[in-house]
Amino acid sequence: MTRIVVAIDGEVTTRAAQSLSAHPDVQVALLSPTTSSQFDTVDSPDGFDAVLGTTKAAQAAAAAGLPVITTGELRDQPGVAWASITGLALALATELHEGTVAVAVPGEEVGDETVVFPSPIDVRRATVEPVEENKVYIARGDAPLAAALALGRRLHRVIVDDFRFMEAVALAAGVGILMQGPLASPTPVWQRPSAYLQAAADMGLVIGERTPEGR
Amino acid sequence: MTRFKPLLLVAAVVAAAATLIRSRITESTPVDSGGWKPVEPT
Repeated sequence: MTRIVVAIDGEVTTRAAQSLSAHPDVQVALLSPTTSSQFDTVDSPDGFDAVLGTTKAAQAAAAAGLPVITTGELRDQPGVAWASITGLALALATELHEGTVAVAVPGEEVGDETVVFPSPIDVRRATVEPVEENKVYIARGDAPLAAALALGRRLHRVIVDDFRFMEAVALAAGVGILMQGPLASPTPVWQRPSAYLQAAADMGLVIGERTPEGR
Repeated sequence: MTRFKPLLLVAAVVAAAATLIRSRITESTPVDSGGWKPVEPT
């Protein structure tokens, strides 16, 4: 049994705790001062295997000497990094070796680039942003849906779902990497794509695939 | 009726131009071609 304490810090962490609790091999507790009728609350992460969340989780994990599972970059702290929709897209792209990596998320639509997502997201303007050594097209729009898209020369892969659900599962699925073994350094999700994507699929995300010729 | 003829002609030309522009915009907007199939993660 893998024991995770979640540092609640907004909707994504609340939903991530719910997704984690459905995993048969994960035990979830919340870090105080959060209270809950569904989960146990603990004052300290001591005795747990990792802390999951955003900024508060990273701080609590560092103080307890535990790995963290978080949405952004990690520097000099062990744990799972980029457990996010962006990380999902980069994990999808790992085996494609080259091509376009893009995400669609809610927000104001800006950018000089154009990305075509599956319907109903369709075409969107996008900006190109660096994510560690990678380049990701970020396409914002007013739909409540999100997408993680990887377009390789021989294969295309995509995940499309409700934004809030997708970002929560993207975070929670980081536990799949933790369950492979101890983490001594920052580990972006795309470095362990199979474990990460399997956990995401187990939590309800569906991966779509096609060949460029199959259009 | 005669004095409205020029107005009717202008309205018809404007409507035709609007239809043409709208169809050109629709044709030039890229759309995803589909063909996606759900897969298990490898």
